[in-house]
Amino acid sequence: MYSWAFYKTSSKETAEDLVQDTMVSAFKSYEKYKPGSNPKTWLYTILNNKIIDYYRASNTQKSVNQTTLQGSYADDDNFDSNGSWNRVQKPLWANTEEHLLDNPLFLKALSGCLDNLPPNWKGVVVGKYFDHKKGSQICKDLGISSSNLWQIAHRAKQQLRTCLNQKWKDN
Amino acid sequence: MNFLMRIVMMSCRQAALLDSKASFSALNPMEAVKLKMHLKVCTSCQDFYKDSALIDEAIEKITQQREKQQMELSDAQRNKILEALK
Repeated sequence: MYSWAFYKTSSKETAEDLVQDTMVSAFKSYEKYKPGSNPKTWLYTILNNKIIDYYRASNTQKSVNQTTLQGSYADDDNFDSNGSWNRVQKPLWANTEEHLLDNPLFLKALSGCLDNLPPNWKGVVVGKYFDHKKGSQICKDLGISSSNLWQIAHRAKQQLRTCLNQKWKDN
Repeated sequence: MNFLMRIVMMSCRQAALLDSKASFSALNPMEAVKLKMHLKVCTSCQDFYKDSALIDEAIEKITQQREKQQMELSDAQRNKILEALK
């Protein structure tokens, strides 16, 4: 369970808290457990709900602090006010001859970049790539609109690319 | 002509946003055509488009790697959870 929670949140502390919360919830709602069903499945259902709650909470916190999420000019500095690229990034694939996907250093760099995303953006990435959920399901889990979802995916992609460009240059 | 261009063309930001949208749901025909035309003429966006696909693939790969990774709670962490259950 701890592995699973860490895999979903990439934070040891968060994973630990989530596992603890799950055990406490399971203990309290023990009467809801149907005898004969698989206890492991039951616990994982609770854990998965906790993970969704965690991302949803980070999402609402974020929108309170940062109401600019809706405004399209706010924080993607890759574009100027006309919506053109304001600093042209050298494409990643042009940096090297070898196949980047087979390069462990490249994957490690991206892994670090993924972990640095704000939690509510990470929720979208986790839903999309880790769980292979449909867009509508991710929206429901996180309590966001679909245009919000695209906007977040867009921002996350921009940030990942910028981050990779920087990290990759250091190598 | 200018008016027509503005309908057909869009900014690079919009194009990148459509790229993200397309990864969740199919674009409507108008959006698909606009994106296609934009990508035909804009080299910066062509680069971005390729990078975007590369990042997608790389994340898939990382996902597979992480899935195999096993983690154990330490005894102290276990005790903390047991403590919380009391």
